[in-house]
Amino acid sequence: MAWPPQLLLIAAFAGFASFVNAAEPPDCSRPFTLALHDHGLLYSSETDKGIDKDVSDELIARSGCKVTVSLMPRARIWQLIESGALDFSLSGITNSERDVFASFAWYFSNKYYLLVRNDTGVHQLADFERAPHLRLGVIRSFRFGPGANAFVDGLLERQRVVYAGGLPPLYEMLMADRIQGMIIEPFDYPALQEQSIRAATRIVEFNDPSVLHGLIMSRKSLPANELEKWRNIIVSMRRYGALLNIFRKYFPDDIADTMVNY
Amino acid sequence: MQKIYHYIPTLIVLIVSLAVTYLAWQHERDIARRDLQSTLDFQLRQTTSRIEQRMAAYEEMLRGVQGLFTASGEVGPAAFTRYIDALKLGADFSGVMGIGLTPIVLPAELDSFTARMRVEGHPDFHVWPDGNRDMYAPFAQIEPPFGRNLRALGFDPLFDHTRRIAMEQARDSGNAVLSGKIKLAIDDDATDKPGFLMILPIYKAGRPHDTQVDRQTAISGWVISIFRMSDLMASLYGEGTDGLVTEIFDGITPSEKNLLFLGASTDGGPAHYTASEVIVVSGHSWTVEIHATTSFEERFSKDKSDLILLAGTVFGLLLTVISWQMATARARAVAIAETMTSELKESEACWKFALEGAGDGVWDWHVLTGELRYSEHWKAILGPAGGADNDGMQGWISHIHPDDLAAERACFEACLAGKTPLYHHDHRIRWTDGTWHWMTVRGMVVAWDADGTPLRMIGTVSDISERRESEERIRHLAQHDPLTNLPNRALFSDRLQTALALAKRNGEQVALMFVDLDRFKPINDRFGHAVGDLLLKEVAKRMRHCVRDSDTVARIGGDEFVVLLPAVGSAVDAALVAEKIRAALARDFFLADQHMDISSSIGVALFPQDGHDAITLSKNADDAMYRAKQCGRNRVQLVRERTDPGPSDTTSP
Repeated sequence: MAWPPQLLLIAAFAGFASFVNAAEPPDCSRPFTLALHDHGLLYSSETDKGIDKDVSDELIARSGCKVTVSLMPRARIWQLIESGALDFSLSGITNSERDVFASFAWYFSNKYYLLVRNDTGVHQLADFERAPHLRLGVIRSFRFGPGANAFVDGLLERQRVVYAGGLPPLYEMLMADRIQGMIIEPFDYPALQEQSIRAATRIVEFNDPSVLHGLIMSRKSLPANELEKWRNIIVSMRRYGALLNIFRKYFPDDIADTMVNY
Repeated sequence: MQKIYHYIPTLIVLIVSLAVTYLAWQHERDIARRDLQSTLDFQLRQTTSRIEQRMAAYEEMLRGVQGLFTASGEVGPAAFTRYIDALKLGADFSGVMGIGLTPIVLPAELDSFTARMRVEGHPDFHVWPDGNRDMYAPFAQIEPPFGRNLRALGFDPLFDHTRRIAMEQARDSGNAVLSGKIKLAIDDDATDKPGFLMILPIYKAGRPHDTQVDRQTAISGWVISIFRMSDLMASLYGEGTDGLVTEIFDGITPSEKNLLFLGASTDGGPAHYTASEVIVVSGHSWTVEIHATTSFEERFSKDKSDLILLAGTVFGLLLTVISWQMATARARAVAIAETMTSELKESEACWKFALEGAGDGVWDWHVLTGELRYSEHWKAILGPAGGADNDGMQGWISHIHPDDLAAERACFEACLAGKTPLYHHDHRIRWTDGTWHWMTVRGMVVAWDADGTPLRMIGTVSDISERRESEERIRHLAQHDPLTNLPNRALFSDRLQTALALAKRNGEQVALMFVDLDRFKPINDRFGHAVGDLLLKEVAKRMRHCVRDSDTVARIGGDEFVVLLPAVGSAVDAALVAEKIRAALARDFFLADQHMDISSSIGVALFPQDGHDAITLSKNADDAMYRAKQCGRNRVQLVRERTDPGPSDTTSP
């Protein structure tokens, strides 16, 4: 059924008007803190670039607030978000524990994959689980989809998990054969060694649906109405293509569309 | 084979109990190990968290220095010193050996730079190590400027590959970067303590440094914190829990070459548990490993698996023993029963042999079923008719002499009723050949039911015929005259007493006769004792023919006889018998081809007329007999003078 152009115009205007009403700017009466973590295409400290960096720049610009951006390990980010010492971080996923102390503004979704060395002969998840000598590298405090979480927890019980503070040492250990597998997301390939890593590894999929990622906001440091204001900024970034443009800088268009238009 | 079969359940119990124990032991051990590993992981997390936070603080401190240059552009040595002083780096920053400034010096500027440094108070300043490089970044200032720190002045870190990489990485990212493991320039050759640098770039004021290219162009130098690892770790109060050994390695590979720090444990033996994590500090990876020593394990381990192993094994063995007891109970009971049966059979055989050898028979009577079993000897005595098992007790009873039956039954029933503990009775039994034998039969009840009803009775039977005959013969000899086989004085006296007692009770009369042979002595003298004895035997025979069976003829002296007539009707009857005897003895005797002629004098006393007791009666009868002698012999004399005298009292030929 085709709608008359006039009607579409009115509907669009009404939508925009309602958004403008809702998009009250956040209270900028104090400086805020935002932490990035060094994580593949999300952020690389070597290049000071990444999706999260771009998103944070856009978010800060739209908010009109003073936001201090720093780099710290992911585990520390979660500790500080929980304590209220840190206001924001990016590309976070939730679980029941995190929902207690953090609020999220979703802006992309993707799946998790097991990246394994070719020389392990692993083609399925069960192959990895069955081989007791294979170690899985995991960034401490990282959680994934239900299937991937169960996979990690099972290996953890058998003391086959090696913790690291970030992606770079995990890739380094993978290439040095100190670990034989790690869980990655599409943006996790390091910018510099991507080709050599792709050549030495293969991808095994988890049977998990895509997992939402978003802006992490500390419930302890931000009141509920402020959370909503910050969330509206992310919504507007998605709605009007700013986010898609950012993702298209790092991924082919079809993958970027899939991730943002979940 | 059967024995092995008995052991299978026991073996299964043993295997199962030991297997369960093993599984429980393993499970408990795994849980304890997991707990301990979890505790160790927590300790590791604490350690890495402290390191990360401390390094973040150092980074913030260095950013302050960077901020000074960003804000001020050119910063003179005095301002730099004042700024560092103003930071008041206390004990928490004791790991920082110094904070240095390394401006970029191009080869063309090297001489003027050196000259300026010498003018500014460092007369011996020179850039070292020597050599031509495309760019220099010598330490132009180091705070605090004391002692060994001054040794670093002029040192160009770009000369060293490890330092240069970190400096370039910091330059390109604009962020703080940690160098790899190095030997510090402030240390002399003798000091071998690993160190590292934290490097932050300084860009020219007013120049953009948004992109990597911008940053490479705008770089003017670096601020560098110099760390000695051991001092850094010492400044982390509560460096570790007792019993833990902490090791930090540069990079992702733990090796001696990469060892940055080795914390000594104050106690405990070699480590069994290890936890490690690769942390990222200012863009650089460190591997942190902590090892739990035995003292840590003792303090935190909840491992009770050894106790479970011990208790499980003991319980399992106990269970095995019990199951072995249960499994083999029947077999052992059967074995015991067989042994007992065998012993019993042996015992029975012995008893049987003993009893049979002694001439005894054995009987076994089951009261309820009536089944009566005999030994072979008993069967031989009674024969098939009397001893057949199927005849039972009635068959046995039919063999008992009728005269003995009542007494025997009374004795038997008394025992069966429990009135007497033993059944013991002598009675006559008719053997299969029809002869009567005196048997002594013994028995006792050996089994009762709950109500006390006898169930089984066993006993023996012995043939006592010969003993009884022997006893009878002895008794006969003791009571009879061996020549005439007539009762002697003792038996006669006994019978007299019995007869008197009966007569008194029944109101009857008893006659007592004293018979003395006349002219016997001449015959004895003339023909000899042998003939005299023959005569006496014949006399006895004739006398016995003159009386009833119930009467008694006894010999009480050489030629003296007595006759007892119990229940005699009257004195006349007694006199008639006496006369009959006198007449019998008066007839001629032909013995040993000799003719002999004797007679007899007989005195008769009657009870109760002639006396109430045996003595009186005997005396009166004797007196009467003498009177008959005196009156001419061959006569019968009643005790007439004390009774009713009359002509008929005296008889004569």
